[in-house]
Amino acid sequence: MHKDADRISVVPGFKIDYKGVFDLSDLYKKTKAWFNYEGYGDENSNFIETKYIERIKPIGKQIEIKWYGEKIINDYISYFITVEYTGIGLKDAEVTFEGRKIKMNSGQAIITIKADLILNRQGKWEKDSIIKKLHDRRLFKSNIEDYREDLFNKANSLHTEIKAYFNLHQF
Amino acid sequence: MPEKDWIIKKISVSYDGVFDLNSLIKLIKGWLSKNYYFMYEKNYGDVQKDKNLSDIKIDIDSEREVDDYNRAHIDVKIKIKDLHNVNVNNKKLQKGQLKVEFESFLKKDIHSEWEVKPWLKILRAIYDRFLYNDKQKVIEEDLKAETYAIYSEVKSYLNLLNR
Repeated sequence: MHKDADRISVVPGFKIDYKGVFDLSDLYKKTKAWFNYEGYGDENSNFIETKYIERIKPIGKQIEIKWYGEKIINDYISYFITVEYTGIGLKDAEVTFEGRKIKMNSGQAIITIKADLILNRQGKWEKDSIIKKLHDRRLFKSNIEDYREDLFNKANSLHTEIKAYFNLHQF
Repeated sequence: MPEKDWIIKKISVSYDGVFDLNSLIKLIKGWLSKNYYFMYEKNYGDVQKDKNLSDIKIDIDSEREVDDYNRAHIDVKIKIKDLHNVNVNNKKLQKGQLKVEFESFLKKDIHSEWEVKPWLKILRAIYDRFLYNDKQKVIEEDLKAETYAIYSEVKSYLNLLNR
């Protein structure tokens, strides 16, 4: 990100905290598929796994993963979505489904989704310049609001997708 | 940074019995959107204690811009212990210990326009204290009344189920 770019927090943190039996690798794949489908998932340009930590503890495995994906909207704006997974006390579990035994994990999974709107992403204007303020606060204000709403809906759809994966209540 | 003024720190409704979780959430979300609040589900926690038994925690945050200076917030926390599905008259309902908490606060100077320079901050304190006081009181009273309105709505909804 350019040093003069502005980062506006649209979703400071949607959090899903689940304790039970689940398939971590399947969740990992499904979330990555969402990133790919929505245009955030190209590992050569706009998708980065910034953290992968695995620790073996007496209570089970602890995993920390952090992803971010950036989607370029136009010359001035981009969407930035960050997902953090934390797995605590993960153990192998076997579940019988339709007469078949399936390998899964039991433990706690905490997933946090953040979304930021990036303005002036190429740093065309200086951060505190009058023209930038005039553009963002007056001329382009309603467009920025539309982009904020769109990004919020995107982050919300990912949140809903993960909740559906855990089979949680949908409202 | 906008300043945060608490209006109602915490009020809660507790209920132990059968209820319809979906329609309860719809009632809360419906009330908030009807009153022009923008809401989002901030946290969703689920602890599966058994195959059909779980503890659930849902945090719904909502906000509404009152004017260029104030933003009203009503946060709702739903906690359910030992939640499980039950069948009542062929309808799938839920049973458990339910607690719904409400809190509200006002965020002032939401666009941080008065914090650019120290003298503006002083001017803002004077403005808040002497010039804007009456209007501010009305806004605070409104938010207080709204928080109690949604609280009463949930209370009467749960009482209705008891009949």
